[in-house]
Amino acid sequence: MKSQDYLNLSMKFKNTTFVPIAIHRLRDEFVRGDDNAYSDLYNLYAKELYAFGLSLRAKTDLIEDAIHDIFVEIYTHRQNLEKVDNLKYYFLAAFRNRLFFLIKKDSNSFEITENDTVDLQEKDSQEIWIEKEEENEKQILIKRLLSELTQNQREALYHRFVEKMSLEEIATLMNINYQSAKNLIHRSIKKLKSVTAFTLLLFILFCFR
Amino acid sequence: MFIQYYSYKADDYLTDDYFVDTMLEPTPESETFWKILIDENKINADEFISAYMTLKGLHENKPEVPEERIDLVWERITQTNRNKVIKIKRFQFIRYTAVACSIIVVIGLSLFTFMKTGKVDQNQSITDFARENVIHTKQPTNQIQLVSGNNTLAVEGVQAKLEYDANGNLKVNKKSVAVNQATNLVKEIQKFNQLKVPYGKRAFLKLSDGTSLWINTGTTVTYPTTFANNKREIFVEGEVFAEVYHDSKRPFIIKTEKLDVQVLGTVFNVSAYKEDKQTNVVLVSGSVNVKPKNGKSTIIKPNQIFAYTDQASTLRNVEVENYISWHDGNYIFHNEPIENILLRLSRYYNVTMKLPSNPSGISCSGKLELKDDLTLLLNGLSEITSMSFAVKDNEYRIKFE
Repeated sequence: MKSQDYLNLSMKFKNTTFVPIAIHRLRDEFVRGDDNAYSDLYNLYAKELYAFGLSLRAKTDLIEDAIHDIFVEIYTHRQNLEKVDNLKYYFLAAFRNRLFFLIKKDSNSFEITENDTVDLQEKDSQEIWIEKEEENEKQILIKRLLSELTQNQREALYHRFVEKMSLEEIATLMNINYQSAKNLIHRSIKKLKSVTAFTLLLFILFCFR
Repeated sequence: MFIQYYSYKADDYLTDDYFVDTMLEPTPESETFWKILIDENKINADEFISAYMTLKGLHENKPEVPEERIDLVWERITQTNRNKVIKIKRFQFIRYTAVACSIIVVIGLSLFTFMKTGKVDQNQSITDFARENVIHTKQPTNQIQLVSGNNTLAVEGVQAKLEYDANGNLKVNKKSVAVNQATNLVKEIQKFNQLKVPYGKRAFLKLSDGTSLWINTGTTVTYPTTFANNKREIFVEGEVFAEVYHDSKRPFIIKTEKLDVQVLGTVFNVSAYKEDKQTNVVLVSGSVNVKPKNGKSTIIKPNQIFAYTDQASTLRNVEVENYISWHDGNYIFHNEPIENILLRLSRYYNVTMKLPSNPSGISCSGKLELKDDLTLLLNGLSEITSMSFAVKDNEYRIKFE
């Protein structure tokens, strides 16, 4: 009986994303021409977009160009936002498109490859010990684990676990179907587990417990 | 229904939507739900917790964003937006202003000897003042200068923006300047201001009557701080593009050495470079009256060019965009001899170019973005023509073969 309630709840979570009314108000003010709302939107999402760009391991100047470009674009095309329900998702999608376009243009900057693990392993030896000052071992391990994944897998995990996006949203954003998004997450998790460090991670995590 | 969780391993949890959603954003219900499962030993607590810790680890693995970069990007965005708004406004005014014309005025070489005879008296005219002042300020400068009475204000940078309000108070690049006091003084003794824009620089000047002037490189504009009640007169040597504020009671006259252009509220372009022999007036739309010093006045129609030299004057149809595009930051050419293109570029970028004395016979059509590096533009021209160039002793040496 009780379990039934939980399941209903779980269904609700799957299909709806809650968007605070305040954000819709902000959006409407912006569309009506309010420049304060414009800077509020920037303060609300710019950091999020920047972090997403960094998680994709894009060059910072390209990340900044992409943020610049999409905010300049909506400034003169405010009505584009009029019917947008989930602003965060809208900005992520616009940013992603723009960033990938810029990366392509700047072709020699960053390659979407299976083994950009290399640079991270190089990093391991020196910088990781410096970084260690700032973050705990858990984070270092997570980083190492993630570097075992492909670009797509990392991105999917980022959206799912950092951005808290639903599989539907991830699928649309990454231009793949729902099943592929599901498989992508599944494979990433499986791969994480297969990596030796995973067991080590679990060991450490248990110690922290 | 939650029986599925009984056999879950850590990675099963991580791919379960309900688990992920409720761990990231727990609700009282979800907390009770998982607590019951664990307390009643229905699920493997170790697997559950390792899944939870992994999820937390992934979630907290958000890259650090440098705060100051966010601020810098915002500054860039607002800058771009500001420029865009100005651009859109200008574009609209070119397209929609009913009365618009463009005038290019060029002054002959014989001018210098003539100028020295200029005399000052109490009711000195703007033309005389301009002539006098050219002699007084012969010292070369690389800065945009505003000369007002005995005050000289130098403006740093490649572009300057000067705006007067209706009372004659001045803002330079959006900042009020102390020249205000000086200009008040100037108003009383009916003298004029001079804005000198050297080669390689450009400026925008908003006059006290609301008229806007885009001032091209190598240009001096002479104007009063506030205009008289019956007329508005300015003197131009070089090239300007003007949007004249409509005022039927006070006709606006742009004076140059060779001719006067009278308008009642319109948009136009005056170019009067000393070293050019020809005076051109180009009209975009509307109608304008041009009165050469030696000759009868001519009314110019839209899309026409009035070309004046000491020997002859002609009137013909042209693409006006070619003559006014500079104020939007590009030059458009149609079948233009390459020598003319290079001359304009050398002025715009303030460089010396050495060309062969024989005409090359090469003509080009196209558009040059003036924000680009000069070398880039010359490389482009070299690629499409037989031109080649070398830089030596700060001189661009051009060859055609």
